[in-house]
Amino acid sequence: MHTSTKLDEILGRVLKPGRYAGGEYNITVKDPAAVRVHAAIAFPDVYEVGMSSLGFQIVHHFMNQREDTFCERVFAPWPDMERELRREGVALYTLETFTPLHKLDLVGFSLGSEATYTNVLTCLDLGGIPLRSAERTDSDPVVIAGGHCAFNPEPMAPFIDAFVVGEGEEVVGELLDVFGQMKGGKRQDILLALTGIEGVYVPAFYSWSHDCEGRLTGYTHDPRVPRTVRKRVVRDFEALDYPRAPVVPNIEAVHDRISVEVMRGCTRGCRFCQAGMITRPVRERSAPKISEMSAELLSATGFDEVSLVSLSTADYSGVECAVRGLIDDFGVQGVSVSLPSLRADAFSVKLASEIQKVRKSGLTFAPEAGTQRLRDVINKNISDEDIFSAAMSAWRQGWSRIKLYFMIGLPSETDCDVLGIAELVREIRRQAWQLDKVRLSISVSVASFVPKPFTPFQWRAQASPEQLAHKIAVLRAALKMPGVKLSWNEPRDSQLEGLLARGDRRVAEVILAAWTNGARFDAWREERSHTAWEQALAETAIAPQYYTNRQRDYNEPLPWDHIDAGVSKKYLMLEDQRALIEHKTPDCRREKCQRCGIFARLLPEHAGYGSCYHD
Amino acid sequence: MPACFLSMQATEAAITTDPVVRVVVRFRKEGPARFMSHLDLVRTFQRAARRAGVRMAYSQGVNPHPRMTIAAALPVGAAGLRELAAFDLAERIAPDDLIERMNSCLPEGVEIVEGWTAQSGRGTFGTRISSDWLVRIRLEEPPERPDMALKTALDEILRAENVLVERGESGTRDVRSRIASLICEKVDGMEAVLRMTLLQDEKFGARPQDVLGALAVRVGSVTLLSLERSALRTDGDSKSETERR
Ligand code: SF4
Repeated sequence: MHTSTKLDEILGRVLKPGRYAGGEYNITVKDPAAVRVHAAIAFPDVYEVGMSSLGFQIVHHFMNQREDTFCERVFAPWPDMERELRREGVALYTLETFTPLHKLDLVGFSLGSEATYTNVLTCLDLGGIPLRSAERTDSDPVVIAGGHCAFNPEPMAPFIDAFVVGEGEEVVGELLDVFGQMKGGKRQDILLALTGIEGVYVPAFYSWSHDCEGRLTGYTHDPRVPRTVRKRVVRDFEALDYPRAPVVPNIEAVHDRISVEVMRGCTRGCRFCQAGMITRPVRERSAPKISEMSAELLSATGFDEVSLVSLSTADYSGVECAVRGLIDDFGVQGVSVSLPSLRADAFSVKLASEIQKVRKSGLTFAPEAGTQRLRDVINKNISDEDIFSAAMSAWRQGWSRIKLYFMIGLPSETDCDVLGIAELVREIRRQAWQLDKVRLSISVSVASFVPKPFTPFQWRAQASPEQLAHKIAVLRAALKMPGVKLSWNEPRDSQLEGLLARGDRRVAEVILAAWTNGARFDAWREERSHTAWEQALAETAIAPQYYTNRQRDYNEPLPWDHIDAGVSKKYLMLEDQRALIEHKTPDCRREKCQRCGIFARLLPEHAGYGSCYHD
Repeated sequence: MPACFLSMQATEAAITTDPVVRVVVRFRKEGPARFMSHLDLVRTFQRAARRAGVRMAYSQGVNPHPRMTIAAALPVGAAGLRELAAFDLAERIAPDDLIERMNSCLPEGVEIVEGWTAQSGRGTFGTRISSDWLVRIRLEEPPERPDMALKTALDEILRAENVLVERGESGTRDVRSRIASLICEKVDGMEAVLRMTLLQDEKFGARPQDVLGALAVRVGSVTLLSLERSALRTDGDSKSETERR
């Protein structure tokens, strides 16, 4: 525990002081003087969110597991804490030894969402680290970032010294090897050496050019660094180490449970889904391994819930076996199982009812689009019948509340597709009424579609806030039914997300300006943040429409062209064209290889095309 | 944007067990653990029991949970040196054994200092609670002689016919009868340490903040620097505690 009375007083004044106090069960504390690298991993959101992130826990574990490294934790302070720290002149500190960030050798950010970009700046600034990479000196920490957002690093490039693209487990070790050796040397030399590691991107060695109208024309790079940076992938997922004793928060977190990663990657091929494209190929852990991990983690943490996580847990081939095993082994100890991502089909509902014998609160389905046509466009391969039968079997198994997730603003969407959402809801209610003369309570939640890099829709125009507002109005009018609740997200938020998702390096100036104007915690929809962003756009004279509401040409250079995510541009293009003609693409694990490029690129020993899952 | 089709959370019915034995413990809550809420602390004990392999009895109902009680909640930020809790165990464990196993599984700042087997199964802690508090404060508008001013103010509060406080939905309460003692132990510049014994019964009780409120009326605004409960007494299972002593 810290000893500063100043900090004590601050903690007495802020909301949820447990966020900033450390001292949790399972923390790792080492003597900073006895290690080669004193580092911290920073999560640019509040403690409760960060502590629930598996990616954060994984990197933290892999760093601390090394004897030569001490990795502490730090989270973005809520605005009240930020004010207090500034007023009292206290630098943002790590939770294990209360060390100000600027005294560390290395600070790594976990970037899972564009909405946390401004919080990265808060952490750097409050931690006493110059915001721009170019302004840092040899005595400042090296700032690293990884996570899904690293696949388009450009909007944050000026603030980050090096990005890790892809899975961090193996890179972390290589990075610490190089860094440990070169520590104390010239910053430029260290950064150059880091570019020798596959998966590491150092923005300082790359520069972008534009034409007179401001359109991106391409990039050049220092001859000493690779032209493209290929994402890292762990080959042997079964044998991969994992956080064996995660820190147990003292205060309530978003997820107070253990997360057991059963599978990585997804081959369903939904055309809107970035995670599905950038995490290929699919790799699984065996059911016995899942049971072994669960037992170990339950007894190390004392949690009473196991979450089997992956992008689509019903597609995990061992799911039934793993669930049954967990219930047999731990059910009597009051341990519950949660499956956060299942399919909307009878199999999933059966699975759900098997593990939810008591509390049948709500069940969530995500048909994503209201009409079959639009589901074909996005390659969401479920039919109306699948959805009805899933809903009806859920009702028969005792769930009385159903939640449905949809997206609006999808490519080629018309008002008919939007009204299709209401039709679908009406039909589910009608069938439930026919079945049992009951009124099913249904909540419908619609999110605005934001095109993301490395998806077939990366060239597509995003719906404008006005178009989205119109669609929401249409849907509101059509969904006026008793027992049906509709929620949606702010069209302005989606516009911002789109700008940050597909932005280039110039967008960094907007982020900086918005942060200077007071934008914080953009995911939390603070009114103050909206004004800050609007002002920032005006000040930097950057037109978000160039990045968001514009159809891009296939030949146009993209801000993420220097990143190789494994899936080829050709494949993404082909998928986009198939979307245009409403052609579905099958799951390559069940049917034949669709030649997305993963196999050919990440398994170089197999020249040419092949298949990840079939011999 | 959800990449999945369906999500759900499931609970397997825990086997509800009858308690075999109830163990009462005295524990400390200090350091970083001060910032746990009452519910956080309950969860912490339940998790520690799981980590320690101590089998607790489960409550009945739709959402069964390990059975335990904490005698009196501490406000977030306050330390407690002799707090009281009771665990219903599903197996017979000697109190000393329980303490050792639990302490090795508790986070920094939470520590069980003694424990004993409860005599009765019900009403372990009763409803009357008396707490000794050590309250460090700073006078933000210091009078000329802070020590004298404080003494006068505290005397006034003790002599007052009533000390009215707002209790949200339950309206205005007179907590004067719940202030058993109140002294100023130390004055150092603008800072002072107060010592008070406050009572609570089935109806309501006085809180240190109530006293600080009454004080602020007399000496100007007061900042709470730290709060520590040094003793906690209840009218419940005192018999067994006496026996143990
Ligand atoms: S290379 Fe073929 S089998 Fe492998 S993920 Fe891509 S489409 Fe599927």
